[in-house]
Amino acid sequence: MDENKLEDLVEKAKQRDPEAFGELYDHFFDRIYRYILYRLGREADAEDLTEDVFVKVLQAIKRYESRGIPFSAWLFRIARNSVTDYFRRQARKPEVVLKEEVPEICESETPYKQYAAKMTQKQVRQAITQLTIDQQNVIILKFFGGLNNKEVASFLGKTEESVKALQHRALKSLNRILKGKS
Amino acid sequence: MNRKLGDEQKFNDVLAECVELIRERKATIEECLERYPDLKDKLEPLLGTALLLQETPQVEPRPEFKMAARLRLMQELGSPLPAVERKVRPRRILLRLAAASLALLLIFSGIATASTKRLPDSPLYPIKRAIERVQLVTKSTDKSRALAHLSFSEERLEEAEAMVRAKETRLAQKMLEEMNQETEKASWYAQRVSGKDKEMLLAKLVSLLERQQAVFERLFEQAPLEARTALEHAKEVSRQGLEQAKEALEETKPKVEPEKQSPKSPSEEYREERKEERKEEPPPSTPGDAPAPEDGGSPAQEGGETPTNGGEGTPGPEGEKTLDHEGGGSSSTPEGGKSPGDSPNFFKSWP
Repeated sequence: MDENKLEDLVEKAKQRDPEAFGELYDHFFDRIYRYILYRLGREADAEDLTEDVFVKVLQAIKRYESRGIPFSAWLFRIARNSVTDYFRRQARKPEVVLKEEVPEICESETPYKQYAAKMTQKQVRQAITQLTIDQQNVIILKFFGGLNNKEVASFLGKTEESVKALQHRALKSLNRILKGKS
Repeated sequence: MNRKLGDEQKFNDVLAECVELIRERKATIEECLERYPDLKDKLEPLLGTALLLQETPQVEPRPEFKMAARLRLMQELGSPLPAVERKVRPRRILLRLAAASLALLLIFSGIATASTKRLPDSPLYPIKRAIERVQLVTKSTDKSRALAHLSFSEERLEEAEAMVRAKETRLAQKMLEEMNQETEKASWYAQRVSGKDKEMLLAKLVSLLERQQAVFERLFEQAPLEARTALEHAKEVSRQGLEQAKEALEETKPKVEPEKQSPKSPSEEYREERKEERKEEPPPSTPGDAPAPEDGGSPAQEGGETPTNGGEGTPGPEGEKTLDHEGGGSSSTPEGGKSPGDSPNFFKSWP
């Protein structure tokens, strides 16, 4: 979606135009879901949180003003805040153990290629969780959220140079982690 | 020291440039390495990792959940009507509703007709998909959902075929992936149905998968090189699905007598068969014909998940405070049971 169309949709959504908001939802839903899932590692919670994010967007969009922050970065920040809140709430519940959900991998009888693909996905997800939070954000947003360097920089409140350096370090670490696993 | 820092920055720039090119599929790793031969050793493993990330299958939310959440959100968007609007007299509301329905009918039928045969590269294609989503929401039984997914899978196959012919490799690949997903969903719902309906759905599934195999055979020779991997992958998934579907279809058929019994005369066998048949014809209300899904995905079990609602306010972007939505994030879905992707076995418990 080009920037002009996105701006136009955001303006209309601010006026509570259902069609425009629906288009924004369709455009961003999967990406926000992926971001949350990669951060949380739990599908059921990721679904709940994704829905919550869009409810928050609906409530807050009227106050959104570009001021150099791309809409996508603003949206992902809401998702990040929701993830932070989630971890905070979980921390208050010591009996709940947060761990990666891997049900679809074990005892699988899926065709080999699907199995291999899922193994890769699982390994990648687990490897990403070993990065620093900033590195995780860069990798998830770029490769699974579809954001470019400028948008990631805006999301993190850093320069593009910093994002490039974070990407370098993240890829290096991931390479090491995944190599070790293979 | 400064030089080292400068080199590091330069490398970060080169890496970022190459990663972007690979992400946008504008260059391969080899092409990137050719551009920067001096940095080959350092770049290669990192670009390999970037490619692995790029090629990692994208996780998708369950379509049913996405659609249900969208509907809830739209309700939320439309609910707080201004006080003046609420005072409109009932007769006027009815007139407005009738007019709006008529307008919708006219617009929708025109667009819908125009969009049903659209291909993924058409501007009207999203409408076609939106109509499919609406169709799916209106399906209330496993049988009707299975039939809908079978039909969508067939659509994706036709679209993939058209995209291969048009040399639209990326769209073809996407359609093939979606075709496999639709087939998996159809098989999952088919497994939840029992009796004759199950047999009918499995037969349709087998026929669809056989058709897919035939189309892949035909397409492979015509497909551009870059589309062949996707075709091969889709074909393999479809082939495995076909084998499993055939097995499941076999299982729905009456079982052969155990071999250990002593040989019987034809008339004895006939009498026993009739006896068995009478035994196997329970009154229509007898429950338990359909086995529970292996994944145990009953709504009650899903309800056991830790809810995530109910926190305090969330600091929004730019220091804003956005309120947590109370009660809006239920994990229930319009359909009980587990979703595609939740279960290990493509065919037996979910795709």
